[in-house]
Amino acid sequence: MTDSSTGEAVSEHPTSEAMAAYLGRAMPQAERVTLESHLAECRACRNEVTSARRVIARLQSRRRLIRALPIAAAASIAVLLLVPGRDADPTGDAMRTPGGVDATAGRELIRVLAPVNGSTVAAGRIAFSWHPAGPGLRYSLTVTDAGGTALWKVETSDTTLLLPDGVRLAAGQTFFWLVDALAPDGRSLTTRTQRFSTPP
Amino acid sequence: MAHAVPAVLERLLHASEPATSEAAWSAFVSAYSRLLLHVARSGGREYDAAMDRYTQVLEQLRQDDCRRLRAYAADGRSEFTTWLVVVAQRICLDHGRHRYGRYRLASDESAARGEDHAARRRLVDLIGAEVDLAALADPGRVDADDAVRLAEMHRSLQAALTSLAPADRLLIKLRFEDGLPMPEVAANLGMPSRFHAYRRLTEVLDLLRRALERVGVREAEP
Repeated sequence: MTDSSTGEAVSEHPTSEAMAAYLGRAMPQAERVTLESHLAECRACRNEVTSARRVIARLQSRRRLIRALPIAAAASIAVLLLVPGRDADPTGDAMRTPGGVDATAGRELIRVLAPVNGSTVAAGRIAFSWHPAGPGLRYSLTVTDAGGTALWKVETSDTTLLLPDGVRLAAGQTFFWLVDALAPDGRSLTTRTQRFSTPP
Repeated sequence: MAHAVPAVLERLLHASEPATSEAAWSAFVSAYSRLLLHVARSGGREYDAAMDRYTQVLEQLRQDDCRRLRAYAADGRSEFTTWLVVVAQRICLDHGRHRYGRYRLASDESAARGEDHAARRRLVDLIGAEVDLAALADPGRVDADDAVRLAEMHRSLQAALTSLAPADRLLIKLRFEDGLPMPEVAANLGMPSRFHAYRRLTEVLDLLRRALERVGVREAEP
């Protein structure tokens, strides 16, 4: 058997099940040593492991983000209730360092255009818009209700999206939205959680 | 430890009636479409090609009464999502090879063959063996005698690499041939942090250095 990328002779390629067990660190020591020995010789399998680990890491970070949204929403509500005058900085610039890095999380900020944080917007075809943060980026937009339930999640390379007709926002309610992106160089970008309300 | 088969997969594998099977398949796709789209996109962002791969993955997973999915249920050593990423990625690879003759994962880009020599040069540099690095990078610069000694050095390095434990050999390959950043090297090897990987790398380079010195590789010129 040969490595498809180098043409060199290598031992038998591992099965999908073995590869998954290795990735999940669920492999007995002896079997792991054999597989690592193969990986050291087979670039194709190494690339497969690296690529799979990247996909899994991205999925996990996205899952953590979705899990954190309700907490962020609750925290935002608590801040709004407990700290009078917090809305004096609707763009969130007070949290931003001069370099545009979100001081709370170490992630680069994506600048929001609309809806402005804390604004009231007519329910209907709301436009979500933000500044482009770099070429070739894919953004993930999530809109949730006040309880953190995701109402709309979408991935896009655009920087303006219209809320689809199918997503109805109840009147007189508060909603949250957030855009995040992962740059090819590993930088993580976010708008941080934004808030808007619908009129009664 | 055997992982539990997710309920949505359990229902799919045990659905006997066409109608229940169809509903179970829809539920499965709905539960895992995000993951599968992620894998399909990891092979390239071009929309049509990514959707083509996504469709292919779905077709393959459903083929022969979900033969591939049944393989997971029979094994169960890993989490289902981890297994699904591996299988979906392999389907994308096979599809690419079948369709275009060759298909590269995004991670292959930094591992092109042409980088081998530069990687070897970085490795020798770090080992600190006092060899002519420029000559290693450009064998055309050396005369016939030097070429023989240079080849000898490469053989010595290869032998020293082969004598390492598999995990250490893998560490060297991930770092110097694949050019991965240390956090990724650490993750690949199951190390808690990049600092652990750095520490081990220093130890392994020291081992290599001593192995080379034992066979006399310490001269400034080949």
